[in-house]
Amino acid sequence: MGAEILYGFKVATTPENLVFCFIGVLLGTLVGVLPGIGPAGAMALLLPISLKITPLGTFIMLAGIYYGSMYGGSTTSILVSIPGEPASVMTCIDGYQMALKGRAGPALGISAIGSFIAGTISVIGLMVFALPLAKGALKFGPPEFFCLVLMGLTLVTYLSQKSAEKAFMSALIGMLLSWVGIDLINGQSRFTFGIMELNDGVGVIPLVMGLFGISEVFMELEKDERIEVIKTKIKNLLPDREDWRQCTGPILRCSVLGFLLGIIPGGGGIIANFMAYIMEKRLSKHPERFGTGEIVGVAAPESANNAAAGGALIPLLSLGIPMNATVALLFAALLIHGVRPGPLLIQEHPDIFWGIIASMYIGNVLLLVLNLPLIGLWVKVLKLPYRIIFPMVLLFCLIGAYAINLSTLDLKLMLGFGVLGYLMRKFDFDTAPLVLAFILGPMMEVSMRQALLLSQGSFSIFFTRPLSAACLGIAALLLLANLIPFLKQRRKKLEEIQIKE
Amino acid sequence: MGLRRVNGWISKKDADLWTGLFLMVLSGAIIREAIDLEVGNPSNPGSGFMILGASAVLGLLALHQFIKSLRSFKHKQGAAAEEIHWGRIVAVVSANALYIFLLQLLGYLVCTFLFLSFCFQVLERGRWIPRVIGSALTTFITYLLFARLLQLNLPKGVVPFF
Repeated sequence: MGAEILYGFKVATTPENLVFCFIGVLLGTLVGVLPGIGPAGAMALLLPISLKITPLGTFIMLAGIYYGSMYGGSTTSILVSIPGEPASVMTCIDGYQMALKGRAGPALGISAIGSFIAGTISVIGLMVFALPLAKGALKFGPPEFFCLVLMGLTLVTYLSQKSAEKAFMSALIGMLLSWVGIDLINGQSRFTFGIMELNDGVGVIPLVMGLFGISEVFMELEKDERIEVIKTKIKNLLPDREDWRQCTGPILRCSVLGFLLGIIPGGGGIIANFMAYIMEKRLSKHPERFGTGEIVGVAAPESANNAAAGGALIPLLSLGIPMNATVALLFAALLIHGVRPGPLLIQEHPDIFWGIIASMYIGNVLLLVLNLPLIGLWVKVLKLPYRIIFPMVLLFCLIGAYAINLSTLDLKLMLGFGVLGYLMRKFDFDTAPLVLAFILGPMMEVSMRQALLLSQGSFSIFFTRPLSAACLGIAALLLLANLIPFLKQRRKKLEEIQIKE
Repeated sequence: MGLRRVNGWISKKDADLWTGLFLMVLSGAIIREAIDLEVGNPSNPGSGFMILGASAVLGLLALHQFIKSLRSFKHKQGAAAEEIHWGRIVAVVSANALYIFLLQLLGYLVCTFLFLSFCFQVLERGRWIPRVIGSALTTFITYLLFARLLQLNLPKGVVPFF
């Protein structure tokens, strides 16, 4: 493995890839710091521009945005008590309290250092686990891929922040949208309404830009908020000996926890951030200190969300299945370049696989350098008025969507998806399952139809093969778990009616 | 079934009721299209096979949501509790639509300048001179970045010399 890693560093340290890595982590920190604009939106904005650069450069830059945003999110959580990123929600609790007590410096310092350690651990994990998983995945056939995707989507809907039923509907809409265009198996045109440009299907860039970029701006437009940054001197960024003594164990534990939670579908930084905080509070000898400015309450969730970002890349690189919406954008970026992530990636494009891993090491070092000495700059960014930021985001979305095919149809689709995304948020529908299902939909359809052709129409093929049966079993259990509260509620109501009668 | 507004947004019950109804109608239309496309059979699934399955499940879930919200008597508050600036949203959506409609006709420079000036003004009213200068500068810088540096073929429209 040593030779491969050296090869990875050789390709990742070319001047242009270093520049892409720097741009990625810089933009990632920026969108992490700014509440409202998430990594998915920023990645969507850069997708069209990435057509001009190499696949490796694209992935390095976009992955930099993904894990960079986890670093940036903590700054806003600590100084404003608003999570810059949903994955930094728990950091607000103790981070802001520390800032109020004049300890903003150590809070920012430990979150950056914890993130660095966690990021490094997750890159090592990625290197160790992705290879054997990819080798195992070479034995997968269409039934396994279908069931894996089905399980992934079921888990994503189960773990949705909002109603699981609505998340399921959202995923179904995404799937149906992904089947617009020419049928990959028999060449029949579907839902194109006579529009030739729709034969290639709905573009991922207008969809993602609309759902994540435009709708996010619409959501923010309805508010009239001004960000109030805490007025405190940020000094002593490096944690002292006592801080280190308290935080070393939690950082290491939460790095492993975050990494494992990142691998599971729908997991990612948000759940890792929550779980790490809860776990450390339970393990602590002084749980009562949590919520009052406890440094472990900052180090633990921040380490976990960064480790989760690395973990989430394992299923993408080894199985070719993105497990959350942001990683789905990395998948889409590689597909646009004609590179298919999956079990064959390591054999067919070793430069991309090892280059990505090496670039993540480099990115983590860059993030540490960017976050600690440049903290003053990020505080200034936080004070940027939204009346300047939002028109710029809209303009970049418009240029980006137009640039792909030089077609106004993509612009119309993007605006349509922007309005759809806004309405979905207002009606409590999660947009992430839609995007994930949109990207996985074609794979799901092709693998199901191929599996049925292989079995001559027998659905038993999905139950008789061990892995596909296991995945279906997990999906069924999750669906049942969703039904239990509903059935309990129904039973309670029936009992109430009987008592009244 | 009139809409009940709660703090600038319709109640959760009404929201669920109407989205349930809309998704039921949508899934019905998709099921019809899937049948027209040819569903096939399990041993030879056609183009409409998966579409039929997915839209049928969507229809059932939408029906469940519709019935659930009909039975619910509560009018809980909607997602947004604060007063919503509807005017801003409608103005910005319209500006986006106009931009898309006029882009080929007027070209990138004119359209972008007008779009930015309008958005800056809508988001915070005040002195117009700094906004016009800001819009012109942003238009020019983004033009240099995208059209010249990244070689994107942006529409020229009424300013053909650029």
